[in-house]
Amino acid sequence: MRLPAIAAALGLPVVLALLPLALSNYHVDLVTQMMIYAIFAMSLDILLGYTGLPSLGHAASFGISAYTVGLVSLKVTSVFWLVLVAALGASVALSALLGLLAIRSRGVYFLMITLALAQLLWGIAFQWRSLAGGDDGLPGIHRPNLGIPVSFADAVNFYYLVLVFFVLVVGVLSVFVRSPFGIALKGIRESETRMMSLGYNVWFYKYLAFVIAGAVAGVAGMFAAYHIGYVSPADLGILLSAKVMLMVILGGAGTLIGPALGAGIIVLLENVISGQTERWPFILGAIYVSVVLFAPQGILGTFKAKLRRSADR
Amino acid sequence: MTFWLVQIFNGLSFAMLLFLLAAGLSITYGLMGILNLAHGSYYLLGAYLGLTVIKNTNSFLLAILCAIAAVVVLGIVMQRFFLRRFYKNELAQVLLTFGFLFMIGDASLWMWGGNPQVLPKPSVFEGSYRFGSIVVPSYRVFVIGLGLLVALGLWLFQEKTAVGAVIRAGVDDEEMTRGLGINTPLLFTVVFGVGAALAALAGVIGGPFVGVYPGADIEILLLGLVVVIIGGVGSLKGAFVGSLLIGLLDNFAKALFPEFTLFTMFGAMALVLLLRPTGLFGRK
Amino acid sequence: MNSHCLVVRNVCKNFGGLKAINDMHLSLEPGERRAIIGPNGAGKTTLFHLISGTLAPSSGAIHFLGREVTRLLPYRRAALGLTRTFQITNLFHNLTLLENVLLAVQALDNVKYSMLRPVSSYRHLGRRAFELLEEWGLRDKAGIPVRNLSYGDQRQVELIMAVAGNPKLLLLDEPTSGLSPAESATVVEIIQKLDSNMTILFIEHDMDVAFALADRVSVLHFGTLLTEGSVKEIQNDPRVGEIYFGAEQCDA
Repeated sequence: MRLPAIAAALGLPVVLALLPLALSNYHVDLVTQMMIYAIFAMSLDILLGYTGLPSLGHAASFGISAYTVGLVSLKVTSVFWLVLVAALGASVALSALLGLLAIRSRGVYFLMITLALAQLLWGIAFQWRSLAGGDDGLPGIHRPNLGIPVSFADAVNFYYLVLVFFVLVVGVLSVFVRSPFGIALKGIRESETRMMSLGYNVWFYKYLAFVIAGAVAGVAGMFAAYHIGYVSPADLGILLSAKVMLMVILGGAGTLIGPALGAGIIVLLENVISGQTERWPFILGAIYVSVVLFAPQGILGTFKAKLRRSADR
Repeated sequence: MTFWLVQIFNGLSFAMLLFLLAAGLSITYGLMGILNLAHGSYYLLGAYLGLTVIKNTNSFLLAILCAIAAVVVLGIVMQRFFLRRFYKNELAQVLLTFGFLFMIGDASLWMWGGNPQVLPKPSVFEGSYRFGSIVVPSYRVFVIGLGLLVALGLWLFQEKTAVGAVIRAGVDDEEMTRGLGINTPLLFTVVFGVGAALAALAGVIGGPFVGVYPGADIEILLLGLVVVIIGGVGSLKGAFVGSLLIGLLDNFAKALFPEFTLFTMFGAMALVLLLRPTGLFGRK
Repeated sequence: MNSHCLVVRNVCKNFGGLKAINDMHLSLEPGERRAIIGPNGAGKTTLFHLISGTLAPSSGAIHFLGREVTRLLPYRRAALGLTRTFQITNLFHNLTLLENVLLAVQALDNVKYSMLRPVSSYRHLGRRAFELLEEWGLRDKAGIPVRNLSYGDQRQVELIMAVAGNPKLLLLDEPTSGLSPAESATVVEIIQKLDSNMTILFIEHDMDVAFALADRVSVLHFGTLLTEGSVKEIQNDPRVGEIYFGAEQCDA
């Protein structure tokens, strides 16, 4: 591995670990949110960037985990480990089911079916008052109870909890995308017919990628629910699915770290700009348009292309 | 009995709105490979512009004309300078048109505020008609009539004119169409413009009974997508039949099992995508 | 049945009303080099798709090494030792040459489902990949994205991918398509040097190449077998010249 990459890999967790010492609680909270959405964006990158499956319904796996956190911690138990198992279980089960339905489609049909399935869930959450709180959602979710005398209502403590999972996810996914399975996904993105003729069961790979992406999205959804203490149908909706897609494209699809960066940028901008003006949606829209017109390969994608071009000379 | 008839009537008028929206959306994708998620924005903008014109001139007709004119210009600019470059690149189109959706939506919020508004009906349609035991607002009759008229006009155009034939052929096989030496770029722009005009029209005439509010763009877009998928991409007949189905379904669902309307809509869309991806009347 | 490498029997393929392949028969001995020739539209590529599994026949049966494979998906046939190249280069364009070959090398290896170890930690895969690249003289281009390779190199990579797994039957779809005479000659040399135990079935438009490489030739016309025989027999068969509407291959 190249030296800058190694330095970044070791340095980043250290920097992130030291950050709370230098920041106010508000900013610590902000970085926590950036990490949560970075996890979400990386999970979509597995699907979109690496496997070439453009999902417009990825919020479904995120949202179902968030709702599970809400329902379990409000009605059953606040023990973190049990909630974790339930939330991840829900997102894995959902993606296992949705995957069976969606994976047979490709291209624009895949876009449409993932959209339809996610909207289906959104519709259920929106109209099911008794269980899911309808369009009011589920408020009052307390921070997790890990069974240790540490309060995670404290911004810094929660930050470190999220940081541990963030580093874990980045580490595991970094190996995953370089594994035989991971490069097979890239092959599928490039040419399904070639992969089939080489001997790969392409459907199965796509299906597993879908489930894995859903599981990781579930991790993000879980922490999102804990972070804000509230879950609503918007956590399942198309606006969120489109936003996480933007994060991936902005950062650079297929680079893993790019989407994490893209997520951080969008979260940061949203928080900063929303504090100054009400016109954040307009600016977000302008970002969508700009990325497509000017930087379709994303930040990291464009950067890598420039590196390669100067190396070729 | 009366209940059912009234529901059917309401469903039909809503179906006409959906048809006006879905027709443009469907043909645009079928002919040009452009998935325009900002189509709902044309509806929203049409409604708001119509509202402003009516408030200032009291003329419903003028409202319709101005709304259509403005939205058509916007639509053509979007198509010629932005969307054209991303033919068949659905991912780019999704993000690009979403961007426009946000920008237009927020600009509208800024200009007209966040309160839901209702357009005043033209005075000639403020009464109601009696059909036997049922009373229906004459405005809804107007909407249904107008919708059917437009549907008929579009159908005649598509079936009986040379340009219409080219469009039908283009939906089936666009490479061949290009090969026929027709000025495809001009045709595409015109078709796109017509689609935008219909959406704006829907916004204005829907204003009096559906109203206009922030978020209406996404709501109507999603319903429009459901209609297009169920009816079949690129098919006018599909858009019409799909609109009827969804318009009626939406109305009956709201009346009978209001907690399941959304589930029903998207469930139907998902089902069609799984079992018959090209929809009821789409190309194979 | 068991001694043959490939047996295609009574195979038909219909597309709606069109009979693309009609009552096709073909049988290959192990180690045989068979050329499939015929004018455009004769059904050669369709036949390839049927044999490789990309398409399923409307009727008839295909046996490979004694096993019925008629409806098996392509990836299952690859596992049995049946691979193919594509006429239009079908590589992983944005991946490096090394990644392309690695994907071919790990395709039939159990580790291909491994998720928690980098592929570089499986030394046997890298070794085999570099071995192949060395054999084909492309080792120094390993880090180059395949889309930046010359067309001639890309056609070679097509071949490498197909032979990486030591297949028993190799289907070559117009291996010299788009190549200059010099490049074609190189490809012919490479194919001649392939393992003589490997059975090769190939489609060719270039008659010189076809007759140079083949032991036997099958001639297709309108989806059926017109005739079949040794290279000499086919060269001397007047019917073969006729179906090409011209005197092109009288120079062969």
